[in-house]
Amino acid sequence: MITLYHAPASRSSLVLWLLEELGQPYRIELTPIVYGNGQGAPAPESYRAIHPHKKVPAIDHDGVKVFECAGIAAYIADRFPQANLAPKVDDPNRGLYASLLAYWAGVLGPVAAAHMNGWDKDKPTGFGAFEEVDGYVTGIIENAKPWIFGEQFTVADLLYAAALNFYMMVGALPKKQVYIDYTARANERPAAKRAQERDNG
Amino acid sequence: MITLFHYPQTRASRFIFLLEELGAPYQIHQITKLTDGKDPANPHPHGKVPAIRDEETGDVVYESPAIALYLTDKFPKAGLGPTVGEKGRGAYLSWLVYYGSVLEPAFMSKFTNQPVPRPQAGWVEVEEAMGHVIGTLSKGPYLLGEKFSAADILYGTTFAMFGKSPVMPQSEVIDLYVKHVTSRPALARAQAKDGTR
Repeated sequence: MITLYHAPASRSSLVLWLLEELGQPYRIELTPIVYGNGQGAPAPESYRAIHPHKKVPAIDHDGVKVFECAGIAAYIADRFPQANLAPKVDDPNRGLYASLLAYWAGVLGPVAAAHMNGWDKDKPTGFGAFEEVDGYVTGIIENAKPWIFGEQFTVADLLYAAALNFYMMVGALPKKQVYIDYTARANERPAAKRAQERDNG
Repeated sequence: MITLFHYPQTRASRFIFLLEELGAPYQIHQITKLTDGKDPANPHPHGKVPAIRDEETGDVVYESPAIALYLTDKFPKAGLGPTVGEKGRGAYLSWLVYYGSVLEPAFMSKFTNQPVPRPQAGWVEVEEAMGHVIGTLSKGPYLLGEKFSAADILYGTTFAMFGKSPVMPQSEVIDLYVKHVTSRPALARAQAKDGTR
C-alpha cells in the first residue's frame, strides 16, 4: 500500500495525479503545510521523520519512504513497470528520461522561482539563464507528439505538465501556445481529472 | 562504452571518480571551452558539463543526479546504488534528487545572499538542509547507512570542495565523511585523469 502525504493544491497534487495514473491502491494522509501565500499551518515536528523539512509530497510504500517529486516519480514508475510510466533501464529513451527528471527538479524549479521573484532582472542567476531554460523546455514540448516519448505517457510528461500548469498560472513562464496545447492534452487525461476532483475534495 | 564530456576541475570531475568506482569502460572527451560559446561536440543542451553518451545506445544523459542514476542502473554489479526493488532504492532516489533540487540551490542562495522564499521555493536554507544531511550521516557512515553509493560521490566531493568556506556549516561529522569519501583509491585514479585547464 502507498501512503501519500498530501496537502490540497500543493506540490503533492501532482503525485495524486501520478497515483491515479498508476492505478494501485493508495491512501492519502492529509498533512498541514504553510502555503506560498502564508496561509496554512506547519506540520507537527513528528512529521520530520517522513519529510526532513516538513514539506509535501512524501510517500511511504510498504515502509519505503521517498520524498522530492522527481524522486517519487522515478521510484513509482520503476517499481510498477506494468503501468508503463517510464522507459525501462535498457530503453534508448532512458537517458533523456532521467535527464529530464533531474532537470525538472534541479534547473527548471530554481530558475522559475528566481524569475518569479525577479532575481534575474539585471543578470542571470547562478541557477541558469531563464531564456535558455525556457527555450530548451519549449523545444522538448514542441516535439511531444503527443507526449515527450511519443505514444508513451511517462512521469516526465506528468512533471512537466504539472509544472507548466502552475508556472503559467503564476506568471513564471510565458503562456506560449505550445505550452497551452500540451497542458490541455495532459489535463484531459481521465487520471488527471480524477486527481483534480479528489484534490478539490 | 561511456563517453564523458568533461572539463577539468568542474562538476564533471566526480564522474571520472564514479566511472572508476564502477569499473565501467569509458573515454573522456574534454570540451574545448567552458565559457564563451559551446563546443559543438558537447551534447549538453546548455553547453555545460557533465554530460555522458552511452555509445552502445547513443543515449545522452545530463544533470548530475540523472547521470549517477543512469550509470549505477547500467552497471549494477558494482553495487553503487540500490536497484529497483532493492532495499534502499527509495532513499537513494530521494538523496539524488535532493542534491540537485535542494542542496545546490540552497548553497547558491547563500552564495548570492538571496533569502530562500520558503514555502514557495522547492528548497530550504543551507543550515536546514545540512541539518538533515548531518543527522543522516551521524548514523552513517554513508547516506544510505553502511553502504557507500554514488550519492556519496555527489555529496562527499561537494563538501570536500567547500571545505572550510564560510558558507559551509562546520561539523566533525562532515569532516569524517569527507575523509571517508576522498580516501577511496578510485578518487586518486580519477584525479590523475582529470587533466588541466
